[in-house]
Amino acid sequence: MNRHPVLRSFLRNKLAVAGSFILIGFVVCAIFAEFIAPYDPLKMDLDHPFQPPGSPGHLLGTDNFGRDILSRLIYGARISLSVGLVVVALASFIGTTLGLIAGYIGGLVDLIIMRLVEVFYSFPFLVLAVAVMAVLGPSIYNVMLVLGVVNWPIYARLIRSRVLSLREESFVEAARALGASRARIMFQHILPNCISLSLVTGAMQVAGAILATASLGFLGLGVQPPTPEWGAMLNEGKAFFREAPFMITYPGIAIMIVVLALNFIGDGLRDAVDPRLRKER
Amino acid sequence: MFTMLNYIIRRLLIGLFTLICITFIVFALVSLAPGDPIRLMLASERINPELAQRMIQYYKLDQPWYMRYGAYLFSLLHGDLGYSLTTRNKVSLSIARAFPNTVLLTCASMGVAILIAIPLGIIAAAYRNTLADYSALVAALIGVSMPNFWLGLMLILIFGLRLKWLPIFGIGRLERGLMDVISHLILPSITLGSGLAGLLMRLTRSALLDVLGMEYIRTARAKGVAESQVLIKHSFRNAMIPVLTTAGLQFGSLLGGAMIVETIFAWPGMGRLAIQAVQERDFPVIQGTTLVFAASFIVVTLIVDLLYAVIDPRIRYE
Repeated sequence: MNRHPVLRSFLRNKLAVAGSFILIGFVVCAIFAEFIAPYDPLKMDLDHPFQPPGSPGHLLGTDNFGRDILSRLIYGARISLSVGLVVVALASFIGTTLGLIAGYIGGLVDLIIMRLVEVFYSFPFLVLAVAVMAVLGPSIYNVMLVLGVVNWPIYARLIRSRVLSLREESFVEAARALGASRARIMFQHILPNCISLSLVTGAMQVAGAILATASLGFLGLGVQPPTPEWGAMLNEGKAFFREAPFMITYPGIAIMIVVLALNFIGDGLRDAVDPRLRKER
Repeated sequence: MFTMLNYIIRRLLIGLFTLICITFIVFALVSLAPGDPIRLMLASERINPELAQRMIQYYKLDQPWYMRYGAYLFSLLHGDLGYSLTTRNKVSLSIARAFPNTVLLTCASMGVAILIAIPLGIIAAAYRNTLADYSALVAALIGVSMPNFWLGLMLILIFGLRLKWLPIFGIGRLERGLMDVISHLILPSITLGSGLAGLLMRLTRSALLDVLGMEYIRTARAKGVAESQVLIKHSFRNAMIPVLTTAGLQFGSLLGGAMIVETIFAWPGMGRLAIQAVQERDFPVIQGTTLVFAASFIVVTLIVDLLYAVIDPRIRYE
């Protein structure tokens, strides 16, 4: 056990462990949606719309088209989790690469990249996402692209400051003395030491990406109906929320639980990985 | 003093540079947009070819992009943001009408967030690792994790439709008394402020714990100062610096959230203006609102940075 201080510290954090179990539940739903969901999420049953929760055969009721809400939520997990993962992967790829280059090469390149970071930071994040979605048009791929491109500066800034201290380390100097090329030092020697920072930041950003996807869906600018995305479900349910409040209650709870679980995990990971915090205990 | 002046000038120049970059991004965004709005209008027979020709000249659509960007900057300097494609109104006028409402909403939400976060944060720090601390932590995480559009709908459902305590629609009018304004403001500002409240609460707690670990606090306790005095008089003010700075820097997330909250509560602010424009593909309005959102965020960030430099003399003006 002692060889894995990070894992041990993570497992000692009760909230992080609880979050992991919840997340595993959602991941299982996402992967095996076909086997878990009682109905086809797109199948309409116009004879039975607005069935309240607990009606026979429909645990969470049906929506305005008579589609089973529980089944739509289960399939929705697939969309939210995969969009969240793609967004974070894209953003951390762009951000880590640019941060690495800015930090190691420095000079004019650094100046340009960091000014770019500042420009991106000075847009309220959702405002920029909405403006770009308005131009590109709503679709699930555009959501991934836009949120990924809008979120990279966080990684660039963190990785750059890590690289600035790493480049002064003796192992980098040794590599340089042995005649390693700049690219080799950056990607072979420095990058592996930044990966954990990227991963932890990424874990914490998945929650934000899922919330942002749902926000765009809610505004009608994200994933389009009839795809059972949680935010889009809320957008559809909004029109009926006097008669059928359950149409918006459950998608919101699903978003909240998965985001909460991810936040628990992110906090646990950060505390476990950050050696400064660990020493204080 | 000289270094401080230097810092302020540098900071202003960077702000100006960022602003120019943003005008370019906003311009490019719309220039790259697929679907020429005038051709769309022609197709739907909303305008005749003669008018279309005049609009092409007015928007300089027959000229290269750098000429158009130059013209765009030139008109920006004159406060001219063009005309809405749907209402034909001046964009600057619509924004001028909506802007104060958004400021009111974001400031009220900031107030709500601070009023919730600071007392809870102090309690959590004072009773560290007790049930009170853990409950506050979980409450904060729920606040951060709850989608604000969902919270808004739930509040409308409970307090507006079921209990009928509060209005759920639009903005109050001062002519009908201050209570009208406040009652219209309550639900939207709670909706918008809850996420920030969670963030600030956790920050208050950790900042206070940092300060409580310092030497001079131990000295105060050794002298026999009462614990409540230690908390409020000795620690609180120092702990507030990072909290208030973060609050200021989070203004941008409030502006983004305002788009959603204004849409839900039919609040006549910039966010609703922007979302309506997006739905109608009204590009001049999208450009204008995006620009004003970004510009106000830059100004707020600038003010926070400068205030920070004034409040905390330890800051290095690099």
